[in-house]
Amino acid sequence: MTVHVKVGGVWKTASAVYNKVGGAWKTASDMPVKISGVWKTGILANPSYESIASYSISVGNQNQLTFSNIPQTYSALELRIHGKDSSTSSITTAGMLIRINGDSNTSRYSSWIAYGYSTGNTGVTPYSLGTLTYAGFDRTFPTNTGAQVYGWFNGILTINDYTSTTYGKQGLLYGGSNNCETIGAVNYVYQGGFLYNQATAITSLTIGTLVDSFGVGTVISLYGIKG
Amino acid sequence: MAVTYTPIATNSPSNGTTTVTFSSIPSTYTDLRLVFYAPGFNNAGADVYIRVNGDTGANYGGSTFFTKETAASMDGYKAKTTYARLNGDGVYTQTSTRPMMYVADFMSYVNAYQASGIVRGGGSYNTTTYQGSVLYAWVNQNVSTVNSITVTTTGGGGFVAGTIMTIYGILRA
Repeated sequence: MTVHVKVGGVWKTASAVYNKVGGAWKTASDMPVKISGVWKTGILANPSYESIASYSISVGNQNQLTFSNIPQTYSALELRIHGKDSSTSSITTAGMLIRINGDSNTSRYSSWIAYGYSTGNTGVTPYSLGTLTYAGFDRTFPTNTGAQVYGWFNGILTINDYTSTTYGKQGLLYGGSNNCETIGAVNYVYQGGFLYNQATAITSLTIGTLVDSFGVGTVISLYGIKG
Repeated sequence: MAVTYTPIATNSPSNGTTTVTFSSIPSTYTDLRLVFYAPGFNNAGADVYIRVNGDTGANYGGSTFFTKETAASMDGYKAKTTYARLNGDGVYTQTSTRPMMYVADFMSYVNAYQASGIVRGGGSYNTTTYQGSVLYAWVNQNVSTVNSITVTTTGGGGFVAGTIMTIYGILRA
């Protein structure tokens, strides 16, 4: 972000701006600036992490959320996911899907994941290119029932070079959940990733639940990271 | 676009300090991120705990995936404890010049439900013991909104000089 301020009749950018705050001259690095109604300091010199858009679920009836019109001005995207499934039934594989640019064609996505769940279980679950119409991640959102009620999924998905029109896209995800109880398959952690084999820039990103809908309290936010 | 990832507080504990508390955390962000770096510890084989809002009850559940030395382990369920861990469950502290680094995300930390988060990191470079990496998910069934975070190393020796902990606030659009 570039901030322009007129100093002595000359427009300056944030990196060169001085301003008098409370009788003292401040540089851009500590000058208070109001952003989205909130005063911020120390963020103007070299901003590199910006919030693009977010969803906060207050009614549990949405099973897919789409971030559209994604700016093409960053080098990477980061999706921060705090979620729960809306179901009040026990579901052990309430997984997550990711779609790029609304593309639901076959043979476009492949995903991989390594996870551990329950007590002492280990496993690697591969997904094969050509069998899915989305990038899929097994075992994500705890439901709102019984032993799962305390559980929340927290994860971070990163997609680098998302504006490329030369290469396919890679996403890397890590996350996990725990519900404070001794049973339930929603006690897990995993690392995974996906390939989207199309050389098109990502302009929209859809995240969805494979079962039911997102639960109340789910917050999913998209950020842009500058290179 | 809203610029975010704002540093809230930093602490560089003096040698021997065992507990660092970040208190009065503003509730104006969406997520928190704690970045922890230690060049080593005064005790080997110890843990690094995190607690929220000073809660020392057995209200923390954790799931761990870690590699350690020559083995790897995934364990979804761990019995409830009185803390969450920065070092997961199995990658312990080491002395001297064996650094550790962890990134702990406290997602949606202002909420009406349960405090929870995800941690990744590792370190303790050594050819024989205590080296490894960790991915760790935790939840506290007793705390909803997080307003303080305490970082504690066990074993009594405490942190060493050069340890740095910084909390950032991440705001959603």
